[in-house]
Order: sequence, then structure tokens, then C-alpha cells
Amino acid sequence: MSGINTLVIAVIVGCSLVTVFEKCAPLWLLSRFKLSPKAELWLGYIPAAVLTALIMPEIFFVKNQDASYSLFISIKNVFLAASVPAMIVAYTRESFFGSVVAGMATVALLRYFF
Amino acid sequence: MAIPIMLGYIPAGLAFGVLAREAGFSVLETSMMSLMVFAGSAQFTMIAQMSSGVPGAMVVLTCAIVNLRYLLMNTSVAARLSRTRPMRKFILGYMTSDETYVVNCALSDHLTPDEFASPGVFCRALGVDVASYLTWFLSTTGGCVFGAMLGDVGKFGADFGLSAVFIALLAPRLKDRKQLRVALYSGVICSVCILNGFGSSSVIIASAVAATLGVLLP
Repeated sequence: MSGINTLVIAVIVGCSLVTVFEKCAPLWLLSRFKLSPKAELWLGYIPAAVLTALIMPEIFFVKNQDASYSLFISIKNVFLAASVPAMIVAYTRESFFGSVVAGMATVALLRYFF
Repeated sequence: MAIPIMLGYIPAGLAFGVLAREAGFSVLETSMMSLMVFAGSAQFTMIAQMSSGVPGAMVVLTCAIVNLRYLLMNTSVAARLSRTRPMRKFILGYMTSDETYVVNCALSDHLTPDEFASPGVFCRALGVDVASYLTWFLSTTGGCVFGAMLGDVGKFGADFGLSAVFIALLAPRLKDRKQLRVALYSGVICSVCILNGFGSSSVIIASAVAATLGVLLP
């Protein structure tokens, strides 16, 4: 793919608008207001919830030909296997890059040997 | 003060560029994303969803959910910026990221709104922001150009790269037991949604319900 894809550009502009709104609106509008503690708590839980929901279909499921998903918990699931070292490195060493490398290297090794 | 941020952004930005190229995005599209959205995890989410054919409106909605945290962060500093001019608020707001937020909070924690509105303090915050913004732009664009030279990166496990990025972003949060509980809720709800044909809307449903359960359940 090269050059300009109108749909991709439209999505980027849309994402830009919502992101800029979320970043700037509090500074403009909330100088005198405060969010309720419950709203703050809710917003604080969103990143962990979103990230988990993004990871689930990639490592625990396999996409069928009819676009439905099936659970895929097996030692043959290389992504599930690779997520273990990626998680361990990210959790114990808090290294973003180390975790990504550990995950990708595990996938590459498993594919090479099996 | 921006140097630790820049050192972190360079590998992450290169990784983003390579993965964007792998997912089929052009150099122009990749740099547009970095310049216009400037939000790491949202950009990774965007390329993951767009390359797997998720409808555009759903990608924008998911991006809005992923970036909800900026609403929270900038709400926490809004009072400190109450004496700063609207245009300057826009500039500082636009270039907010998780990392620049942390650094700028540390630099200006003790300042009053009047002190923060002074040119020196504003320029210091702006310097951190601009250095981080340009580093992200250059490293993501560089990664995309370099990714084109690598060719097929599937054999290096690059197709796992996005999941690995999400795991790397999630793991440190799981040290907090409440965050861990919300992640478990989200994982279970997301799985139920996926198995019942909710497709790409599973992410939004699972995260909204899981965060709500996190607040409501003791």
C-alpha cells in the first residue's frame, strides 16, 4: 500500500479530533470544576481494561474462516506461549522494549524449531 | 528533563513505525498519525484494528476510549493552568502524553496558577513537550522507512509485536490489585463477547463494563 488512502486518512483525522478534544477540553473547561472521585476511579481503570480486551482475541482465540472466533488454548498456540515471557519481562523488569523483544523472539524461535 | 522521555520514545517509535509498515501503512500515513494523534497506545490500537478490517467509526470510538485517560490527567492539572492563555492551553494540551504529563507534573507540582502562567515556566513545559513530540514523530517515521527495507518481518515474530506492546503496557498496571481485578473482569467479558459474535465492539463493551464493575464492586 502506498500513497493516500482516503478511508485511512479519514480515520486518522477522526482519531486526531477525539484525542485533541480529550487532551484539551479539561484544560479549557475544567479550570474551576473537579471530577467526582467515582468518575476519576472509573477513568483510572480504563487503560488496564482496554489493554486486556485488546490482548484477549490475539492470544486466546483463533479466527475461523467465517470470521467467528474459537478458543485456542494449546501448546501449539505460539502467541499464547510467547505472551508468557513477554508478561514476565514486562512485570519483573518493567522494560517495554525487553518485553516486546522477548515476545517476538519466542514466536520466531517456536516457528523456527516446530 | 526531556532526555529520559526521548530515550524511551526512540525504540518504541521505531517499533511502531516497523509494525505500521508491516500492517500496510505508508510513511505518509504513519507520520500523519504521529503528528495528529500523538498517543502511543492509541496509535498501536489504530494500526491493529485498521489492518484487521475493523470499521472506521469503531476505530475512532476505540481510540477515544483508549485516550480517556488524558481527560483524567489534564483534569488533574486544569486548576494549575487556570491563569494560562487559551492558546497556550491548547498547545500544552495537544502535546500531552503519559510521559510528558509525569515530567511536567514533577516540574510544576509546587507552582501557583500565576507562576505557571509566567513565560519561563511555560517555556520549560513547552520544551519538554516539543522535544518529546519531535522524537516520537522522527522515530516512528524512521521506523516506517526502515521497515520497508526489512521486507517480510513475519519470520522475526513481528506479527506478535502489537500484542507484545499491549502486554508491555498492561503488565506494570497489574501490580495494583484493583487494576488486576478490572483486567480479569475485562478479559472474561471480552471472551464472552468474542464467542458470541460481537467482533470489534467487544473491546469497548468489555472495557466500559469492567471499569464500571471495578468502581461498583467492593
